[in-house]
Amino acid sequence: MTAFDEVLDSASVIVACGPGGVGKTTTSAALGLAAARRGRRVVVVTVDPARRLADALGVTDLGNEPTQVRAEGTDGLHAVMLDAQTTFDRLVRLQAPTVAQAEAILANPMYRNIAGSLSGTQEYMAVEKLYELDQSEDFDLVIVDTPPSRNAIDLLEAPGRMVRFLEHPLYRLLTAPSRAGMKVLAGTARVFLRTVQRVAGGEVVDDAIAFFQAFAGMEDGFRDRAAQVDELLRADGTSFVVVSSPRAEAITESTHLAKELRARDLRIETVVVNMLHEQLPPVAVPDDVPDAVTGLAARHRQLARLADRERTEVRPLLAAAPGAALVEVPLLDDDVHDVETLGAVADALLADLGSLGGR
Amino acid sequence: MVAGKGGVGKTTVTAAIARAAADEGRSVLVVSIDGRPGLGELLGGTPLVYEPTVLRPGGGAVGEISGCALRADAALMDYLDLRGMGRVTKKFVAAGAIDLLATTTPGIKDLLVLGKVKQLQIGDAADLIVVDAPAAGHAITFLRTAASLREIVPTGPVRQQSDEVLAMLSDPTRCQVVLVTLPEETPVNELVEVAFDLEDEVGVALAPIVVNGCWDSLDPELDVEAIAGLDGLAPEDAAALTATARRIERTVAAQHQQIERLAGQLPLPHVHLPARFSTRLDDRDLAALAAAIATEPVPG
Repeated sequence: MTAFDEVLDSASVIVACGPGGVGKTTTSAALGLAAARRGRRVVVVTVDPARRLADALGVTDLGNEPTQVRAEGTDGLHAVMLDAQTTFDRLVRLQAPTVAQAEAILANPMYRNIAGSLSGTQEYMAVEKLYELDQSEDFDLVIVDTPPSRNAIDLLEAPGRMVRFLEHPLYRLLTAPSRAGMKVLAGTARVFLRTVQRVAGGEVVDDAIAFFQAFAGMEDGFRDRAAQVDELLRADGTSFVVVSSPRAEAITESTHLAKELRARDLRIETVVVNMLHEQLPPVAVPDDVPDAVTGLAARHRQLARLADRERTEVRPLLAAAPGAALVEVPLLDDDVHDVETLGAVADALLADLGSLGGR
Repeated sequence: MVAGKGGVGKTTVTAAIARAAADEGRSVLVVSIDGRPGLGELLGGTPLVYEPTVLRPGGGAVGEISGCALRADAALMDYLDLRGMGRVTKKFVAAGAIDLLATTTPGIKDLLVLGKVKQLQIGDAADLIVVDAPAAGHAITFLRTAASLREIVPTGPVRQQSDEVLAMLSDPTRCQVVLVTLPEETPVNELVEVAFDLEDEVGVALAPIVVNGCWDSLDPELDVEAIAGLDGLAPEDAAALTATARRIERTVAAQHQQIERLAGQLPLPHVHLPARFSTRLDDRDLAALAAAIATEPVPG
């Protein structure tokens, strides 16, 4: 049994998180392929706008609805590229008490801007999509490739942030149902409005008030949803995978992330370290060989040292995720650009190099 | 502005550019805006904070390197202070209003940070300001903020600020974007996409592309076939060395192929930085990278 066997067979949600540039998308796609090969119905969700998942899966287009990926030996692999706007629209329709209120929000110019571009919206919609797919019963396993966020914890806190936002005293005052209400706005809200007016101009304030008012009465719905999402993230079937590379910066970030996950009582079941250089044997070279061979030996030792150092760098990450299984993936010669090369990554994930002393 | 996808060495290149400019006698301010640690330490100083601090003192023919980390909330304070709204600012922040402001005016956080960079540039904070921009996907949004805010906000200070930031971004004598990549397939694809978007949508001038992590070719004097037959070399050592030589050949060939593809798709000159075989860079690594930055770019 390797680290991923159990997770691939039994988990219903896998959340892959880690710093940017460490192969998170490829790892998520490879896990999806591996699970699909075992006969599970899998959907991989990416929020990466760079189409890396589509590239890795060898498909040209991915949309907000699951697309089946053709891979040999399996018919259960699907992928989704998150469209934050469409997902947000659906959430608004679901949460709004009346069709008219939903339409009012969707038509608000400020909402149109926010749903597509506001920082944090992507993270929020990624977990919303995760929840939606998990509930759909079309899939046994949902794998989320988390956004290249400044702090992956944003993803976990996004639903709560939306609730806090809707419960913010300023927001509550702004959503006072009528202009009459505006007269009794507390001092802070007046200061806020005046500042927005001076910073952004008067039109923005009118739009903003209309925007906030459009959301009136939807706090409870958003709060319930946030609680459901939180429950799903903490469920037994949800497995967190921290992905990193052995570079010092990546390890610092992923170690921090691992600690934050633990602080929230979220269990990390697996740590994947990608792009490890192969360990090399020491070489002894006599003095009288050609200079070019001495030079080659120096380069060999440099690569050997790097491989050793990488294994030392990883230690703090392992210490921050006690009990997690460790999976090592060597630096691969080829970039992943189709299902076949992805298969090689899936094989590497399920093989056990053991050079870091993982269980 | 140094931009590139995560993991390509954006922060390293920011530091190398700063070091190269300082070595030519210019004063440099490095600016971190994505809150990622490491830039201050890489340049021999302490972690960056909002107020500029000296990282490497200048002297003689060497320019001073200082650095700061910009945050939207602190930039907002500055901005409000500047507009004579000092008294309300404390209350404003205490109420957590930055998030609300960000909601009412999408992109305002990015604009505040860019506005602060513009203010530093106009105020001659240094001969050269090097900004470690957010990772690629976000860099586009970040740099496009000023242009898109102009469409939403017709008048007022935000409009003025957007105009001024856009004026800086689109003036090649004031601002250029350095795109960083690795000589690998996916980073090259993304760089090409980002380059076109930046030119078309933001109208920003692109500096030579920095290709990071380039491996040296094998010594042309080396006869790989002959390694196994060398006198005094144990068979296992000969096998290990031959394997390493093949590995280097493969990597170099793959990298050349990607560099050629990049050159074929983007008519921009390149600077190639040597791979440093280390998990964390020290001062010697940085000096070597700064020297490579200072070499004449390869025509695209």
